[in-house]
Amino acid sequence: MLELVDIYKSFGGQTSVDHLSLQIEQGEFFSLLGPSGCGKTTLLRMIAGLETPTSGKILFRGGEIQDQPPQKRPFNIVFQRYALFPHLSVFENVSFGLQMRKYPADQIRAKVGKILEMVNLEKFSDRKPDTLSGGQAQRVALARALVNEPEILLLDEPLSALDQKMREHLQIELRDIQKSLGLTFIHVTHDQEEALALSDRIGVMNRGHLEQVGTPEELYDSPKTLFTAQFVGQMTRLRGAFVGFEGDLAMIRLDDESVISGKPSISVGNLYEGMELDAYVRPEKIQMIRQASLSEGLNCLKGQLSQKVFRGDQTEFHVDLAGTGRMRTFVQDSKEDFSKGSWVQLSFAPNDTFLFGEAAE
Amino acid sequence: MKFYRSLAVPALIWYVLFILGPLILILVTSFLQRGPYGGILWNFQFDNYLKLFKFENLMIIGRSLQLALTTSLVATFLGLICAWGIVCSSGAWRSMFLGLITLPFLTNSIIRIYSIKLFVGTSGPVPIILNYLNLNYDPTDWSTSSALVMYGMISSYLPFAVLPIYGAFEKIDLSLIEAAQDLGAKSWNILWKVIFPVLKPACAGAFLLVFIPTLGEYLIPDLLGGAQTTLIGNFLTEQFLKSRNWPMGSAVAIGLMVSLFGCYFIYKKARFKKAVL
Repeated sequence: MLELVDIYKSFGGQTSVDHLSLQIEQGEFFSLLGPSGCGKTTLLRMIAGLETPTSGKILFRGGEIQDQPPQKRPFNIVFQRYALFPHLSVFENVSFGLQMRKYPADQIRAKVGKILEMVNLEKFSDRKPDTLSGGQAQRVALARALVNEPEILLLDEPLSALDQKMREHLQIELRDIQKSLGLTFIHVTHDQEEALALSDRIGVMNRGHLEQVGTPEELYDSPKTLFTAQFVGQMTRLRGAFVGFEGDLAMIRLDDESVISGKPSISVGNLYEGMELDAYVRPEKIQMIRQASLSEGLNCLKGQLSQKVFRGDQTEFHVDLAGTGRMRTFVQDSKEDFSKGSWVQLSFAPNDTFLFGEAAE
Repeated sequence: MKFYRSLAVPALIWYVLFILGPLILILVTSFLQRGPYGGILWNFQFDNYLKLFKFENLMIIGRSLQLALTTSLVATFLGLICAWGIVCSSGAWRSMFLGLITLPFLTNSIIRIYSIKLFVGTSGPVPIILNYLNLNYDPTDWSTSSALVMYGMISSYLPFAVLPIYGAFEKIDLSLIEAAQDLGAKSWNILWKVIFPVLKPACAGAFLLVFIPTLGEYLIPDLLGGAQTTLIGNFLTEQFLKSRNWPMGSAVAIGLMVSLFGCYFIYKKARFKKAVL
């Protein structure tokens, strides 16, 4: 439906978006995820028409639109800081787009009424924006965009200015609205949890290019690059040297001579013996037990508990592995008594172990 | 906390001694009577205030109001244009324009007014150029006209109008304009429906900032208007310095102050109402 072809954008010699191509399908909730300064907002603004790409094409339903002004594009954007018109009431704000398109007054009233009802703001239609809370203002901004029935709704970090509770609440609301209207949403965020919770697909952006595009599960369970592995979800790291293959799995030897195996990433390239590799494991995939017991097909390591951080719903443990580094693991609702200094065994599946080279940055 | 509050005592002393004290003196004097040789007689009465409503005095007030209103309106409009120019310029240009706008603040007002007189007067560049162009222009006529007074007033008080509007301009969230574009607004609509309404409070403030001092201004009408028309400011100084009628002068001063407070109050109320709605 929307296709970005080899988009390049620079500001005064500084590259912001670096030859990026991407396709977005009708009706999907697509998130652009990345750290600040990765070019994700610039990309969204180019789709909206607020910036022009230095080179490259934007195709909508097959037609080139990269030179069209924002007024002509059937998209609407929700700004990070809402950008509500301060001198207009909620009703006037929401009806602004319809008025600009010269809709008859009774139609405007009906449409705005309906959309305000959808975002639960029908009682606020006479209020001025500065009398609204952050969550209410954001819902007005959403209604102001949605009332125009855009083909694509663009969201620029719409929830980042809200507190945690309101953010979680609005996440669900956003998702519901998107599903019930069947609209295409393109959502920019730096919050990986938000992206995972909301999206059908996510594009992970770094330094102006896409690291990986995929469903939340794909990104989480099989990150293709080190950046994706580190940016999406949490990771704990071990360092070792490549010793050989065991089927699809690569084995590395840690400093204490113990050997673990994991999935080598494509970005590693050709492996050779002695090559330095980093093994990344998600802390929640690590099993921690008191008694040593060899489990077939699992990576098993011994270590000593050095740190315990209570996090409410779970407890984070830091385990010192003699001479090979430190691993983190989460334990939920543990029955066993793990006290500082005690010896434990950590085990994790090779399929949950991702191997990246140092150069894979 | 007590310690920090005690640091405010000098300010309090200043307010009482130099602002509140003279104000009370003027207020009391305005209810007294002028002595036969210019002194003050302690006879309490309202005559001075009643005299304010005499026809010739009402004419003075009317003329002053007219001049102040026109000056403020024109200055606000010009202020909007100048602020626009400053905002649209960048870097060194912007600082230069801002510097030029504030330059009159750095000059003594009498020098400034005389230079205006020289500029348009008999041997100044304006009559020379206009005569060269064969335009009918008599500098002696022009140099005492009320148009010149207005010109002097506007050029003196323009900075008061430019700076608040410029401040509001600079603070306009660019994403408001982008949001309007995104919602389908064309350039003119953005100007009328977004930019001007957002600037409206600042324009009202600019208007008031020019209106208050111009209503009591006496130097410019005196020097540029050739002392031919009396305005509130001239009337006031005359009462104190020439007629030695301090009680009458005080009454004029109090009357002026009360009406200006009235204006400010209306402005405040209008803004406050807006915020609540």
